[in-house]
Amino acid sequence: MLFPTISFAIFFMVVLPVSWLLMQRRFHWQLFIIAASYFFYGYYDWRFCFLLLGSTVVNQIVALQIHSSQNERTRRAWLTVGIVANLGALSYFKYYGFFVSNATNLFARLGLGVSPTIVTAALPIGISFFTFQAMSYIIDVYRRTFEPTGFFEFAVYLSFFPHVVSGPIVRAAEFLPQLRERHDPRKVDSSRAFFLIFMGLFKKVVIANFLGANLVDIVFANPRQHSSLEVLVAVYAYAIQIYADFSGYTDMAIGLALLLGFRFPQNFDGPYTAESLQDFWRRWHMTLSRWLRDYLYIPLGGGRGKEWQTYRNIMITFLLGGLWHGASWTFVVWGGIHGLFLSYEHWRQARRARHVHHLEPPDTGLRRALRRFAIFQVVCLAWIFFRADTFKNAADVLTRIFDPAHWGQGAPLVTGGVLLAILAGLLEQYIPKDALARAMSAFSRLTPVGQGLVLGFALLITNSMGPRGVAPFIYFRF
Amino acid sequence: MAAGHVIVVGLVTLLVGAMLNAAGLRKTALSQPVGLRRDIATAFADPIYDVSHALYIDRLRQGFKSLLGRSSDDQVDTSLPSPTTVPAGPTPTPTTLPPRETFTAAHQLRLWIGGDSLSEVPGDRLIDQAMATGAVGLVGPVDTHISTGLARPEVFNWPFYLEAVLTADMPNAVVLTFGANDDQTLTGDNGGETFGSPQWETEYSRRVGGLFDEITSLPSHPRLFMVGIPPVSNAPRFEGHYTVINSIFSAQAQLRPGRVYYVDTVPVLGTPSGGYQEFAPQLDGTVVQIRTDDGIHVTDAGGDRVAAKILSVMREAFNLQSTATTTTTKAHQAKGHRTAGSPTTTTTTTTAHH
Repeated sequence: MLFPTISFAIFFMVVLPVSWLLMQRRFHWQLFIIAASYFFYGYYDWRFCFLLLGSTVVNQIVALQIHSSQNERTRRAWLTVGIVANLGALSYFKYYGFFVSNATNLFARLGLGVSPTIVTAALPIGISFFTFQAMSYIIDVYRRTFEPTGFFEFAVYLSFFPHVVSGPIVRAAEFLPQLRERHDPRKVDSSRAFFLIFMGLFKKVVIANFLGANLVDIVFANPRQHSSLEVLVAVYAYAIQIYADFSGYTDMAIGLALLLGFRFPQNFDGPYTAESLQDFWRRWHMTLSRWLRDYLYIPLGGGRGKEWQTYRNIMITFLLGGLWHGASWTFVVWGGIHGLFLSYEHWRQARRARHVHHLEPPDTGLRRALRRFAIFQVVCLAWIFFRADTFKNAADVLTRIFDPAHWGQGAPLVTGGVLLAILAGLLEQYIPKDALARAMSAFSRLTPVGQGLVLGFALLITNSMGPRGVAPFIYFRF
Repeated sequence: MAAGHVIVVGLVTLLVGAMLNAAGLRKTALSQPVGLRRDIATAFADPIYDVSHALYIDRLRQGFKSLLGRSSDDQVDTSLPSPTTVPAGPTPTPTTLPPRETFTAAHQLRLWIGGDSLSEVPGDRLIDQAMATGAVGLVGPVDTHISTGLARPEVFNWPFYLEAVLTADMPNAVVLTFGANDDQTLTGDNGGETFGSPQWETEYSRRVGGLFDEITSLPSHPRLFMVGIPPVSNAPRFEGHYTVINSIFSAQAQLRPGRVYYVDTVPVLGTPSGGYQEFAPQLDGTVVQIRTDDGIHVTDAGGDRVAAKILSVMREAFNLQSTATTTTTKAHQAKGHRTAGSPTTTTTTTTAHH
C-alpha cells in the first residue's frame, strides 16, 4: 500500500480514530497497531509477513538471551547469532544472486567452470530498514544502553506501518520509550503533521514523478541518444528527483506518525545546502548515517586511531553503505566516491590542524555559495553511479556530458516545466525554518473545516499536476 | 489540536478532495481489478462524480488539466475496433506479400516503440541497437503505459491512443509489447467474459485482430511487430495464461502475413525447455542477470536479447542497409513524443549490416 493512494487514505482514516480510542488500553492498542501494520505490510505480498514475524521472534529471543546472561562470552555469542541471522536473511533475499553470479564469473576467469542454477527469492519490501532497526535493538541491549522490552512492544517497534517500508530508521531507544508515555488525545501536533504530509505528497507526486517521467528515465535509458545539455540536466534532475522522492516519503511517514501521537527523528535537513561532504551526510538520510556511524564506523575504530586507519574506516563504512542500497557494483562505486571525498576532507582538516598558524580566508557569502556548488557537483557525480543500471550506462552518461561534439545540439527535453521542478526542489531546501513555523501557525489558527478546505484544494493541485498512477518510491527497493 | 478535530480535518479533506478530483477518482475506481473491489470503488466514485459534475465542482480540475495540456487524462473511452481482415482466404504467397522496402541512412525507417512495462527496457535497448544500424530513425522515446493492455480499455484504450499517435508520427514500423496484464475479465465492448472461457478467447482475438488491422491500415501503413510475453517466475501463470495470450497474438499475426510479425521471446529469455531463468550465460560465457528480482521484467542484458530478436525479425520485413552510425536529436512534442523533424545528425562510417 503506497501512502499517496486512496486505499491508504481509507486505511488511515480507519486506523487513526481506533488507535486514539484504544490508546489508553496499552495492550489492546499494541495488538491493534500490530494487526494494522501487518495488514499494511502484507498488502504488498502477504507472504513477507512471515519474514517480519520471524525477524521479530528471533531478535527478541536474542535480545532476551543477551540480557539474561552475565557471562561476557555468552553474551557475545548471542550477539553474533543475532547479527548472523539478520545479515543472513538480508544476504539471502538481497545479495544471493549478486554473490553467486560474481563468484561464478570469477571461477570462470580462473578456468574453473561452474554453472550453478541461480534462483533468487523476491526481495521483501523494506527488509533493509527493519533489519537495521532489529540489529540496533540487539546491539543496544548488548551494550547495556537499553533493556529488552516486551514481545508485543518490540513487534510494534519493528512493524509500525509509518516506517516499516522505507524508514526513517528509528532506533529502539527513540521509539520504545514513547510506547510507555501517556499520549494526550487533546494535544496532537496536527499542523506540523498535515504540513509534512502535504509537503511530502507534493514533493513525491509532483516534483519527483514529473522529473522521473519527463527527463531522467528517458535520458538514463539511452544517454547516447541525447545531447550533452540534456544529459547534464538529467543528472541534476535526478539529484532533485531522489531527494524529493525519499524526503517526500519520510515527510509523510513523520507526519502520519505525529497524527498517531509518535515522534520520528528528522531524516533530511536541506542536504543540497551542505558546504562540505561531512555536512551533506549530516543532512542526507540522517537516520542511516547515524546508524552507520554508531554501529559500523565507531566500532571499526572511527577517527581514534592513526590517520590511515581513519581513512580505512571511512572507506569501509561507505563501501558497505553503498552495498546496503542494492546488490550492484554501481552502488559500491557510489559509496566509494563519497568515501574518497570524505577522506580527502579529513586529510585537509588534519593538515590545517597541524598548521595552526595557517590563516583561513574570510568566510564570505560567495565562498559559501562556491562550496555549496562544488559539493553539489560531487554529490551529482556519485548519483550518476547510483542511478545507472550498469557501469556502461554510467560511462555513457559521463562521456556524453564531457563530449564537446554534443554540446551544440538541442535539448528538447529540457523544458520550462523541468527547470521549474528542479528549481522548486532546490529552493525548498532554502526555505527558512521560521517561515515554515509562521505558515504552520497560521494554518493551526483555522477551524477544522477551514483546514480541511485548504488541504482539499492542496489535494486538487497535487492530484491534477501529478502523472496518472503513483510510481513506486525509489527507496522501496532498498 | 484534539484527536477528534484531526479526524474532522481528515474527513473534510477527503470529501473536498474527492469532490474536486471526482473525474480522476472515477477513472481510478474503474481501473481497479474487476471484482468486488472495483464494484465498491465505483459505487462510491460514481455518485461523487455525479454530484461534482452537477454542481460544476469538477470544472476546476478540468480547467487546471487543460492549462497543463492534459485534458485527456480523465477521459474514459471503452470502444474497441473490430478486425477488417477476412480470415477465410487463400494462403498468401510471396507475391501477395507487401514488398520488402529498403531503408538507408538517407532514407531512414521511422520506428515507434511502446506498450506496457515490459516494453520499457527491451524498447530502450532496441533504440540503441536499431539506431546503430544507421538505417533507423526514432520517432520518440519508448511510449510506456504501465499495467495496460487490451482487457481493460477504461484503464487505457490502446486502439484509441495508437490511432491518434501513429497518425501523427507516421512510423514505418511499430513495436508493441503488452498482454501480461490481460489475463483477467474483459471490460468495455463485448466485455464481461472471464479469463479461461472460450468466449474470452473469441473476444480477445477480436480485439487483437481489430488493433492489428487498425495499426496496419493507418496512412503510413506501418508493419507491426507484436512482442510476445516471456516466461515469468510464476510458471503456472505463464503456462496457463500467457501461452494462451501468446498463441492469440501469433495466430492473429499469421492471418496478416507481411503486415504483422509475432516476435517470440521465449527462445531468447527462457531455458532450452522454455522455462523461466533469472541468470543466463552470455556468448562469452559470463553469467549475467537477465530478469529483475520481480520475476517478470527484464534487465538491460535481458533487454538486449529481446531487442536483438526484434531487430532480426525487422530485417525479415525490411531491407536495412546500414552504412553509418547516426546520432539523432529531434524535436520534442508536448505530449512526450519526439517528431522526426529537423534532426541534428552526426555521421561516421562503419561496417555495413544487412
